[in-house]
Amino acid sequence: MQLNETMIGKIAVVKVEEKRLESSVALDFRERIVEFIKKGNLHIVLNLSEVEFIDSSGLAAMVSALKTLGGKGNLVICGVRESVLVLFQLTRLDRVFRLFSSEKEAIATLSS
Amino acid sequence: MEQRAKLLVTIDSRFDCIPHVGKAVESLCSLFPLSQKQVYEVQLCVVEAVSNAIKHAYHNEPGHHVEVQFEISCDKVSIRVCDFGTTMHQSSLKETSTFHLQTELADPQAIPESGRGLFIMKTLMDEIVYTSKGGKNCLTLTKTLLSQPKIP
Repeated sequence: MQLNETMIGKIAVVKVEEKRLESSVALDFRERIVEFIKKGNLHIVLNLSEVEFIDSSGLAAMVSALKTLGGKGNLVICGVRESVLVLFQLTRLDRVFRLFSSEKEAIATLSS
Repeated sequence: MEQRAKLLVTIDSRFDCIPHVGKAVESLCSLFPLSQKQVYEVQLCVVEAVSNAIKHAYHNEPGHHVEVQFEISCDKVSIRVCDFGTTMHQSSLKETSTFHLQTELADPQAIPESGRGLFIMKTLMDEIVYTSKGGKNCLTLTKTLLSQPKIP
């Protein structure tokens, strides 16, 4: 799957360049983002603005990433589409992950 | 004549087959007056049901059949996903009612990574029935679609 990784100071912006984040790509996504964290990238903005569809395996990969951080950093999410937001709300993961409407807002919050 | 659409497809138990089923369901839903949210929810339930069949009935092993039957009319959606693998315990269907609360109340390290699929299907659908007969396991989900408000 395609991930676009950009560093803005100490903040890593990871943009998912896929329209679907589901079981067919979730394992690859999880492995890559966990590896990214283990390399020392502890403050991450996950940009989901291109993603039109997520299922529970996509969510599981994000939870796995959060647990890998182990409270030593931050994983926030931006650009969640309205239909995808329903899934975060349904599973109460909107109370676990901080969700921002824009990448700019997410970066500004992590930088402060 | 009532408008109705039906999809019958058998896929191999591979995760890369699931997006094709999801997109086909999404396309059929677009023929009916459903909101974007409803279309997403219906597609999600189909995808979750098929994923569960591959993960749990076939233990992620390719080379097996998953049958998907999807029917939609203006007032109802019906999803039926069948496999010929390991039968699910009926108790699994009952153990999901507080899943979301576990997530909300837990320390992040204790948040379950997996297991949300059944909870999602149970929450979004009106009825969920699991049957197993003659080696064939079927998960049937149904939902009554509320009529859309007429724009004055």
